[in-house]
Amino acid sequence: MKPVIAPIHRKGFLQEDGILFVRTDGILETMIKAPLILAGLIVITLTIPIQTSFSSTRTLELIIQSDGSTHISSHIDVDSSNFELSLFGSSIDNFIAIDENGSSLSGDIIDDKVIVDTLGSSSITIDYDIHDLISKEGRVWTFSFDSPLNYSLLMPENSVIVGMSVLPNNMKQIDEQIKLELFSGPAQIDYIFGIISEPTTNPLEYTLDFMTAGLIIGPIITVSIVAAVLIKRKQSKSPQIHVVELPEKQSESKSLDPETIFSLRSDLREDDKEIVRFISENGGKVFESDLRKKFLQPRTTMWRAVKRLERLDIVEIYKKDLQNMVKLRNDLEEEN
Amino acid sequence: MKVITSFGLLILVASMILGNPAFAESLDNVRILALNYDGNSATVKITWNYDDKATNYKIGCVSCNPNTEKFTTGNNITFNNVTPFPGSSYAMLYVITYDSENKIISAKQLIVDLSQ
Repeated sequence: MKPVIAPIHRKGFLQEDGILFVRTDGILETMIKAPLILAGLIVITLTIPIQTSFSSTRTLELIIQSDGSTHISSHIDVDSSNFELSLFGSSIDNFIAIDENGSSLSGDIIDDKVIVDTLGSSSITIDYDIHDLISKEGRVWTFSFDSPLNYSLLMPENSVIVGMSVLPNNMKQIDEQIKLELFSGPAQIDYIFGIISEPTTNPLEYTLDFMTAGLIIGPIITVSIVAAVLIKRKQSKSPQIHVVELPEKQSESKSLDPETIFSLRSDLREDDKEIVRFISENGGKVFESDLRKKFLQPRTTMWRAVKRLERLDIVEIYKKDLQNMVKLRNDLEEEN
Repeated sequence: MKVITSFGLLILVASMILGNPAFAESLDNVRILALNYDGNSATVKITWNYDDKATNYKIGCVSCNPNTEKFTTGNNITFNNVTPFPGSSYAMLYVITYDSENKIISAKQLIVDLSQ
């Protein structure tokens, strides 16, 4: 039996069993269009940023630091567990993400994006430092930023704004720092720092003013006067200083001879007599150390002997040059 | 001795007092006066303390759109058509001091209420 090709839209029905063929041109069109539509949906889904679909940034605050970095703080409403955020540059430091309860959240930074595990939080705070927004030429620093929303910008301490490409919505001074409220969009702000510490005076040339002269000359005059007075005093005092010496010859001639001493002190010990004779042979006075050396006596033994002679008024002991001088007396009297 | 030491100290103190007593930093005393404010712009007169190290001054208006600037070698300037920030009467200007080698000595931000 020959198969009968009967278009489906024809009113006639097949009288006999056969192969059912459907219209192909509509199906072909559908078959071609459907994948294209599906592919298009997939591409759109992949290219749309997730945060746009699932988050919104409530606030954005920037703080320019003195070292040229910018601190960014942002409050974001999220409704996905893994939230991907585009950062404003790739040179990122000190990234912190915390949830609405203040708990830290983990974040993986890849180039200029970060994926934050929100743990179900509906609102998170992102803080980080970025080095991509500030450039410097000479002494002029330039802040360049294209913001997706309105934001606040706190200028660094001691900065002076010298150029602004956009006018702020609001401006206020906090202590000595300027805080600007800026609209979304591109902005460029030039600033320098107010106090320049570089010396502008050539150290080889300076003007000697009266103050400098006084600071130099005053102490010199004072020191010179004091030195002159001290020198003069020393010169005037020196003739008055002389060493007073006892007339030794006179004392030597007057000391008693040993025999006279022995007759006046008949009970004198023999070793004491030897000491008296030694002193008499050496001009009537010797150092105690010389007596020790002569008689090879220990210090204490010789000291007892010398003190014994002193008690008998045979010798007198006095200090000379930090040593004990033992001298025969010339006024020995007979014992009673 | 005491008299001589006292005399020396007296010389030292006298030199300090009679020397250059008022050593003012650059831009220590800046005065700014706004005149003829009509709600849109004003004339601003600025004067500052003399600095023997400074040879040139640059004065600019940041709140003006576009930003404007002027140069002077004196210690005062009159700035015309100074405009405030939108929605306020406050204008922002600056003064920069340059030395003979055109290096910046100091800079100061000036914020003035044009309505006063």
